[in-house]
Amino acid sequence: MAATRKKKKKKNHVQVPFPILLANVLVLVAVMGLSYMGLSSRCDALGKEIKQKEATLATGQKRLVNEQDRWSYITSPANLQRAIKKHRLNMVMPRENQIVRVRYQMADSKDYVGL
Amino acid sequence: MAEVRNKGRIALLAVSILLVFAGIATRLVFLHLYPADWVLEPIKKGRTFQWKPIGQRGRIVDRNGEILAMDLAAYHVFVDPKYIAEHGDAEAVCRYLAEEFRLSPAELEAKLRNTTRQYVRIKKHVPGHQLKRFERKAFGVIYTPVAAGGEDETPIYLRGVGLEEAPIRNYPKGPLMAHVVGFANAEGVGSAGVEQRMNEYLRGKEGLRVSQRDGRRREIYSTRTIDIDPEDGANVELTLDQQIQYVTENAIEKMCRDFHAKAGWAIVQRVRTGEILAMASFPTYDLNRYGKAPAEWRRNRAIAFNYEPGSTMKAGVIAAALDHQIVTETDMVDCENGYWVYGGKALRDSHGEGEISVADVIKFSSNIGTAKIALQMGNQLLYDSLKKFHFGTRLGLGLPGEEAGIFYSPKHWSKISITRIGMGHEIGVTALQVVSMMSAIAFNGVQMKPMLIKRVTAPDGTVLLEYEPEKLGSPIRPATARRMQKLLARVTEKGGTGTKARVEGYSVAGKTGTAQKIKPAAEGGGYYAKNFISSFVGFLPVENPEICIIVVADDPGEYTESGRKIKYYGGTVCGPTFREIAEFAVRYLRISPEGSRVYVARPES
Repeated sequence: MAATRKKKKKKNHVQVPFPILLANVLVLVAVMGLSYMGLSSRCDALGKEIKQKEATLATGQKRLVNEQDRWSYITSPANLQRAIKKHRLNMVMPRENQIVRVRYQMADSKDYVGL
Repeated sequence: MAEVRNKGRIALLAVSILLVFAGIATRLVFLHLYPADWVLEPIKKGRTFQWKPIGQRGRIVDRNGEILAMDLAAYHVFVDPKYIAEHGDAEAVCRYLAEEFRLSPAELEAKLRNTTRQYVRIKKHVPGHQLKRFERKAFGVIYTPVAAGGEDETPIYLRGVGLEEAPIRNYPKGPLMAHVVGFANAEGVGSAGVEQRMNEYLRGKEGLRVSQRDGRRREIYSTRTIDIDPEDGANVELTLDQQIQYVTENAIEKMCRDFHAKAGWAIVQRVRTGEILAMASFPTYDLNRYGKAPAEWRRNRAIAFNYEPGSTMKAGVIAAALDHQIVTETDMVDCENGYWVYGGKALRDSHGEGEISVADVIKFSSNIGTAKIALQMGNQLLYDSLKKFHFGTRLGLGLPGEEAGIFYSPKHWSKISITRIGMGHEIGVTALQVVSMMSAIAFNGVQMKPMLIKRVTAPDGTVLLEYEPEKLGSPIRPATARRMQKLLARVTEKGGTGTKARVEGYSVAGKTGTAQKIKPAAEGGGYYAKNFISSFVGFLPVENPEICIIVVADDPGEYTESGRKIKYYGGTVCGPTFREIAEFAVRYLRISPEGSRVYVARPES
């Protein structure tokens, strides 16, 4: 009986070698797969972000153009004239006797320059 | 036995199931790894899309960077009747769009009924700011209607309605500089003025994007295979100044109204560089509605209208005579008391003078005096001298429609031609040619090429093209030019024909011109008795000329009860307009009476 148990015990102790190489390959494949998926989803997220930024930029550019157009329109001489009249600013160019000219002759030139 | 049979069946079933799954797996593997074209094509076709983003047309700006022309975001509103019939609500689309864009519901309904079509444009070029109530979605738009009380209603999803980008050309200054800036048509092609001339630089280039969409029609960025950005057009900077232009346009409009002129035009030029600071023509039109303006209004008369200049030509003729020492300013000329017959044809002066000096011939604008001086010069010399001022030749401003004028060689002249050309008849000129001649006198005999375009820059600021002041020639010697400056200054002095052009505090030199208009051959040819082209061309300050201005009026004047025409002389009609423009220009450009740029203003104490 004891001999049988001993025999059985011996039989149970037979060790199958762990397939390290296979495990490594499987882990590597799994890591690569996960990395690929991770990178892929990150690319998708970046793509979405780029798209969003592109849309924001396009909207911003359109707004800028609209504002520039509006600014250009309201600062046109005709509109400024209208605004001056509306607010009764009565702005006119100075008359000749209201003008004080400050002149300065450069040492190396015959021309006068304005100050 | 029964056990054995069951085992066989189970095995058979297991094998069958395995085979089925193996078949499906094999098929899946083949579909994914080696898909057939007929499988791939429809999927690819449905997913792939190509988009051509539009490059904006470049801007046109004045010398201070003020925007004169620019592209503005706009959209075409379109519907997909087929899609609406299958998935949308035709009634809602019809009701809301008709209300929003003020369209006929019946017409819109008829368009939506044609379900064979997938693209029907219902409103073109709607500016972006008018579409604030619309939000673009993959299969339609979300529209927020306005309730009767002015409050927003619940947004509604209108399937099958789309907004297609279609930028419009906008001119924020409206009619300002209309004749110079010109316009681009609905296709974005320059069709007049600078828009036409610089079209090659202004037009943008389309980009290209090839990519794929997901099930909700959103682009999958990672599948973008081609991504070429659009290129915006270059910006064109003009030499014009919007403030001087505005004053000039107002002044000529006022002149036309006050003196009942059919049309008027004016140019302001910088003497030393040839830069055009203002170029105006009346009647004018709004560039944003160019299609509604008659063709005649769209004509830039300053460069595209040939006319007989009348007495303004005397400045060039006498300058040439002095330059070739045919006469001196003190030489006396018999003006025959205002009536002289030469070659069987009578020649008259408006104010009869006896024997006067060459200087006074200019001051009093004597036709007879100038004719006699021209005769002393002879045909060929007169022709050559005026040719040196580039009469009969395009000055190369570069705008479409620039005329060269009409100036025949002496072999085509009659006996009296020389006397008529001297006083500005039998020669066709443009206002640009006359102002260029006067600028040459003002700039000590140097004629500069008129400049309208300063530079062209790419959107990133790179200068693509830059124009520098260019000398056209030296038609007269500096000494002669300086003498002429003094003689022409007398025209605006007391007793001269151009006293109304005087500018307070500044010395002004110039010449008036009043020429009878040519009668078309269909009306018998010759000249109209009471229809004139009146003009004034001058520069200031005489001591150091900075700007040269020409003002021309077509058929000004009014009739008295007796049928006599009055208020049509160049000095009377164009002189005050010249003064108005010059008064503003010298202050705005800060030109002192001596020609230097100075000063500070303070209120009158």
